[in-house]
Amino acid sequence: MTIDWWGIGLQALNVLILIWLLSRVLWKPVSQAIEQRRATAQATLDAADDAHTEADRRLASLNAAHANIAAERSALLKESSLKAEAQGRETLAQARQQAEALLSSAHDAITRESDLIRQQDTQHALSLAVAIATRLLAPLDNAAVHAAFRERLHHKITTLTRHERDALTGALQHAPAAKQPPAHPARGAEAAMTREIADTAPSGNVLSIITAAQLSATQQAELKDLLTRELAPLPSLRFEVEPALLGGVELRSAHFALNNSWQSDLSVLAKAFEAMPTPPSASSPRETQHVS
Amino acid sequence: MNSPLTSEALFHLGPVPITAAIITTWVIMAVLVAGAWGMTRRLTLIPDRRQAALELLVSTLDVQIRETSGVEPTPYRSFIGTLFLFILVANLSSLLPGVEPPTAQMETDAALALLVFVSIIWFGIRGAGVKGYLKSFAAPNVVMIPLNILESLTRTFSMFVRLFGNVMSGVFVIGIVASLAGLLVPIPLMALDLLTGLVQAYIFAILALVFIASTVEEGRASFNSEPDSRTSASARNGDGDGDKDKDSAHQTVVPPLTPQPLTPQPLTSQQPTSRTSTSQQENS
Repeated sequence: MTIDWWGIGLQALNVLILIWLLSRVLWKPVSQAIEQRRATAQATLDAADDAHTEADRRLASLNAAHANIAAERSALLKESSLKAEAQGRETLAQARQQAEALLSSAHDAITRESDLIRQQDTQHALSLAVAIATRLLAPLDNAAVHAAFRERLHHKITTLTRHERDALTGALQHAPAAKQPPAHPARGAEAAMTREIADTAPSGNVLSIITAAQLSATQQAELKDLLTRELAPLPSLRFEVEPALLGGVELRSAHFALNNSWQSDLSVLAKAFEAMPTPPSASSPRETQHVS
Repeated sequence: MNSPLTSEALFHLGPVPITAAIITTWVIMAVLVAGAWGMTRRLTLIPDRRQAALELLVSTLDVQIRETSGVEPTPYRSFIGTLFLFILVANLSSLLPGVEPPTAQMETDAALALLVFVSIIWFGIRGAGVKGYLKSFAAPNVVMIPLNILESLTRTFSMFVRLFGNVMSGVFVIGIVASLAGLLVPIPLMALDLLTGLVQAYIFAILALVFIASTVEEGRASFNSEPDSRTSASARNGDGDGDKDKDSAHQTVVPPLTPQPLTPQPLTSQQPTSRTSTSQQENS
C-alpha cells in the first residue's frame, strides 16, 4: 500500500475549489433566493399587518365617528324634543292665551251685551215706569199737585245763587256757561237740575212759566206773585203748557231753566238709575272661570 | 483488477501524477458546477420545479444542520453541502460502466478527511478564538490534552477509513459478483450500493458537521468557563449549575448539540456534549 501525497493534496485542492465554486453558483444564489422570498413574504406580511392595523385604526376611528354621530344624533333628538316640547308649551300657552283672550272678549261682549240689554231694559223699565207714573199721576188732584210744586218752586228759587237768578231773570245777558260760579256744595242734587238751554230757550228777555196743564187765573196770579216777590225785577212772563211735564211748574229763560216737574224728577231718577253700577250677574262666565 | 489500495497515474502534470480518480473528480466537479450554474440561472421569486428542487435541497440541508448541531447553518452550508454532494455523486458514479468512484481510492477519502480536520480547526478558531480552541483541549482538565488531541486525529481518521472501506468494499463486491455471475445478478447489489453511497455521504457530512459544531461549542465553553477544573468538569457532565449563577454575565448562550444523524430529535437541555458522545456516534 502506497499513499500518493500528491493525489491527496490535489484532491483536497479539487474539493476546496469545488466548495468555492458551488458556494458561488449554488448555495449562495439559492439561499439568497430563499431569503429574498422570505423577506418578500415578511414584507408582505408586514404590509398586511400594517394594512390590518390601519384598517383597525380606521375602523376604530369610524366607530368613534359613528359613536360621535350617534351621540350628536341623540343630542339633536333631545334638543329637538326639548325645542318641540318648549314650542308645544309655547303654542299651548299662546292657544290658552288666545282662548282666554277670546273668552275674555266673549265675556266682555257678553257683559257689554248684557249691559246694553240691561240698559235697554232699564230704559224700557224707565219708560214703563214713566208711563205708569204718568197714568198714576194723571188722575191726581191738579190743584194739590200744583200747590206742592209751587211750594217746591219757591224753595228752589230761594236756593238759587245770584248768578243763577240773573241768568233766570235775564239780567245776565249772554253769560257763558263756563264762567258760571260753581254751585253751592250744599245743594247737592238740586244743582244738577239747573241747565242752560240756549237751543230751546225762547227768544228775547222772556221768562216762560211752563206747566203740564192749563193753569187757572188764580194759579197764574199766585205764581206771578211768588216770582215777583222772589225774583224782582222780573222780565215779561209767559205761561206755556207742556203735557210732557206730567205735573209741576218750570221756569225757562233764554239762558237758564229751573226744572220743577215730575218729568225732570223722573229724568233725574232715570239718570241716577243709569249711573248706578250694574250688579254682576250670578252666572257670569268670568266668575265661573275664577271659581274653576 | 488493480488493488484498491494502490493508484496508478495515467499521466503526470510536472511532478503531479494524475490518476483516474482525479480525472473522475474533475469530471464530477465540472458536472456539479455546470449543473449548478445552469440550474441557478434566472432564479425568480415564484419558483418553478427546478428552482423548487434546488430550494428543497438547500432548505433540507439547513434543517439538518440546524437540528443536528443547533447552530445557524449559513457558515457551514457551503462546506457541508458540497461534501455531501461531492461524496454522493462520487459514490453514485460507480454505476456508470468503466467508472471507478473517486471515493474508492484512499487519496480522495484522505483528502476529504484532511479537509474536515482542517475545517474543524478553522471553524473552532473562528468560533471561539485561538485561545478558546486551544483551551478546549484542556477540558475537563489538562491531563486530557493528549487524549483530546488523539481523539481529534482518530475521529478524522475513522471518517476516512469508514468512507473508504464502505465504498471500496461495495465496488469490490460488485466487481467480484459481476465477474462470477451473469449480467443481471449484480443489479440488487448495485441498488444496495446506491443506498450505501447515499448513507455514507450523509454520515460523512453529518459527522463533519457534528465535529465542527462540538469543537466550536467546546471552545466557547472553555473560553467562557472558570479555570477551576471542578467547575468545568461538573459543567461538562451536565450536572453543574455552580458557574451558571456566578458567570451568567459572561456566558454566551450556545444551543446544546444533539448529534443524532439518523433520527434528528428536538433540542433538550441535558444533551451530552463531550467528546466521548461524539466518539460513540462516530462508532455507530
